[in-house]
Amino acid sequence: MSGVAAGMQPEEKALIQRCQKGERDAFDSLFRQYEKRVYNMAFRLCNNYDEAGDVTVDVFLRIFRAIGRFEFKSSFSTWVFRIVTNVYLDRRKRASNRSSLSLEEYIALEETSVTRQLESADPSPAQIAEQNERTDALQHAIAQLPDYQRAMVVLYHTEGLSYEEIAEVLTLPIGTVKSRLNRARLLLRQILQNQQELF
Amino acid sequence: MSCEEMRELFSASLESSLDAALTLKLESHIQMCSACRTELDGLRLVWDKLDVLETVEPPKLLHGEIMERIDAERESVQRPGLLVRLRQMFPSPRALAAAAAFAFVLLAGYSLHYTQQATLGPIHFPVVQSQPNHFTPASITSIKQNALHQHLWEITIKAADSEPGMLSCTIESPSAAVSPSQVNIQLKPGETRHVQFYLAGSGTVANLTVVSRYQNLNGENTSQIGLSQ
Repeated sequence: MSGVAAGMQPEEKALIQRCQKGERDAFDSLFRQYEKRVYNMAFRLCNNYDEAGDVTVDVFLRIFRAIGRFEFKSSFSTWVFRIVTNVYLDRRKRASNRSSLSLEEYIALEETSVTRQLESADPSPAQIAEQNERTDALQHAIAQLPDYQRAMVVLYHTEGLSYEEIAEVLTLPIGTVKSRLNRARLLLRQILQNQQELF
Repeated sequence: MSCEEMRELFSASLESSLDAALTLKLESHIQMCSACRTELDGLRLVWDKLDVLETVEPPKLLHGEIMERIDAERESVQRPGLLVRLRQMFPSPRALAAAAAFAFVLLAGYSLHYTQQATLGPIHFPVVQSQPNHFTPASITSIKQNALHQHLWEITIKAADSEPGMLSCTIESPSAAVSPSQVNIQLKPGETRHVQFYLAGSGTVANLTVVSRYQNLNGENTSQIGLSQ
């Protein structure tokens, strides 16, 4: 992946090198550049604003501790996304004993909420509320995917990483990434099929 | 090829990365199999939605919190260990022993004082509604100081269960010492959300006033709360 690293902007490389020397201002600038992307990825993975904030803080602490070992062999963003994925998966492992909704339970819940909406005598929801509901439904559907598939969907569709970059982030063969992503999309489609009123 | 095998090709087909032979096989299968045709159409729709998923804004306080944690970490890394610092201060063993005895006496006194302080716990302030009997679609249920960070204050907001649809809520802090000065959130019926504020060093909580505006299908509803100390 040295080709990816070679494509790094000189300004970014200089900023990372300043971070490696421990300059606080450099960390401040670098973190500002990545904060929104890291938070968004964390939110798509966690489906929870508070947890996304906690993951984001953990990610930047890990970057701070590990940046001295970054050797410019991959793109910095790929390295950051790998850290986000690892922090998220670590947290999931730690919380694995907590209860979570099964796919069936989720669909049942969603059907109930759609039915309630259709039966309501209230005026139809405002356009913005509908849009929010659609985005929520998609976000909730993503949250039903198995952890690795969820990470792949987020990396590909919301962060715009290529199959090669995802393979590097998750240390998986490209063929595996492609087939698992295909399955993840089909599963998403299956989940959302139950909400045709929204999609 | 079976339907299952054909579905393995769907993503590649939507990305136009299938070779000509497989494209032809898939197309002829799709023409004959209505289940796979429906599945492929649905997948295309999901793909389109995924690609336009809106971004979310990180909380305004997040960057400050990150840098605060980084600063704390930097400080702990940069400070030499206690033993190293003691050796620098007291090069002779006799001086070090005398200093240790003195420190023991001080620590014993401090720990007694600290135990008394610690029992206080996080400070809670009762919330005073400006219109106590007036129904609001969402209400602020508590304001409390963070137990670890004295400058961080957390407001808890709960949407009423009976309100249909999403509630838009704006929390405004007119005091210059409070950051952020405005927070916009959306709540589902019955949802509880915690919002954090940073109070600058010279500010006092007695001056903090929060105005909340709730906009929903029934119109706008404004309520104001203050703190009683």
